Amino acid sequence: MDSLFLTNLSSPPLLFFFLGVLAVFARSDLDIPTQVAKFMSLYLLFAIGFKGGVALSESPLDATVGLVMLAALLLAAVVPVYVFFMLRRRVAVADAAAIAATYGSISAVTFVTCTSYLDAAGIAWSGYLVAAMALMESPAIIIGILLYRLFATGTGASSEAIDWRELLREACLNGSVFLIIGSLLIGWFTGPAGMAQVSPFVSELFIGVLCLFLLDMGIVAARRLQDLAGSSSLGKSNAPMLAVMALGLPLVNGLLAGSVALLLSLPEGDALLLTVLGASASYIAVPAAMRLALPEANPSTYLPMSLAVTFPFNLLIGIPLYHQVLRWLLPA
Amino acid sequence: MKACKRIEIVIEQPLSKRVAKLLEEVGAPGFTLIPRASGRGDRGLRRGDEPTGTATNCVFIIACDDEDTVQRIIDGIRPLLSSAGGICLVSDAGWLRH
Repeated sequence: MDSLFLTNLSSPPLLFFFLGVLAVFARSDLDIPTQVAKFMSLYLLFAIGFKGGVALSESPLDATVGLVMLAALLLAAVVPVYVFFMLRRRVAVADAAAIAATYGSISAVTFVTCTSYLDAAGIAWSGYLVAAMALMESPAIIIGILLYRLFATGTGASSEAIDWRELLREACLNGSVFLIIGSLLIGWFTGPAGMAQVSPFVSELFIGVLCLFLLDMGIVAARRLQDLAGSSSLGKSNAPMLAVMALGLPLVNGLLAGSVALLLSLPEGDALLLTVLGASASYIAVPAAMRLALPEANPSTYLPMSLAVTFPFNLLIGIPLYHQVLRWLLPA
Repeated sequence: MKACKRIEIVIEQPLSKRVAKLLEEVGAPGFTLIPRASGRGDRGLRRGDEPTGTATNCVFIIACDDEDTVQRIIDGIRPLLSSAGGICLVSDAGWLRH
């Protein structure tokens, strides 16, 4: 197990993430302009979508692909339900619904980091997992809102009309989902010939941009961790419980997703990616949709949980841990 | 200069489209939107440092010389502020017509 952790720890993207964390705690004035970070996130989504599409064009679409898509959808629908019921007596219903949606959805950057981990280890993975990632972004948003509507009482907000058209557009067509699916389809359509044209941009710059982006995410995550520790809006009794949940939920969700991967007899790389998708939590698509559909939910609760605790946990410990457990359980 | 009310609404950026729609519905004469604002409120710190813009505020500035429209804006924005947080400031101002 040590070697997997050491391989992960010695990867440039992870080291840059911790450089960003260090910059905050050392009070350096290092800062990456928001628009540059936004460009890098768009680049990563474009590159992973395109690479996934090209890989998809080179492999047959068989029953396994359909089953994985179905499993991905089911995971994204089931996880928010049990997370909601774990939390609804402990925090406000709106916050429980938002946290449930956050953990039912996925983190594209965790997925991208895991693909670079697999590439560095020389382990193959299938392009259709990118499509599974895109599929898992949105269902949790709808489930979270439905749970809130079912269980919110006496706040008045539950009887307020939701603009479902706006919500569905935000959930299914938000910028990141739209770009991943669009790039995937273009990569699928153009195949290896398309890849030959954009390869220097999509492949060779990828790790460098990922390093810089994770440097920024390290800065942002460390700031959110400080916010989480010093936040009065969470309530003193809630902050430790939510921090523990943010560490425990990826393990529980990863266990569920990993079990599904084993049931489907996925190969090592694909099994790890599906597990990481299950274990990760959204800090892009869900928070944006929650602000629109569930403004009563406090973003100072669910955003630091996913961004400051679960995301670094998955990068540092989660990915090699899930990998090792899968190696033990996968047939030789 | 014409006397008017200056209305400033600080709200989370994802809700800016909803506020713009509301202003149009109540007949506000127009607005200026300042994106990517940061600050601290009773719902915590908004640093405005994320690529997603989720934890980022924006500021609407509206000049309005019609008392009824001002009241409609206030009545319309109040429920949104109650549920989503944010502030609305109304002050007397002078409108330099040109």
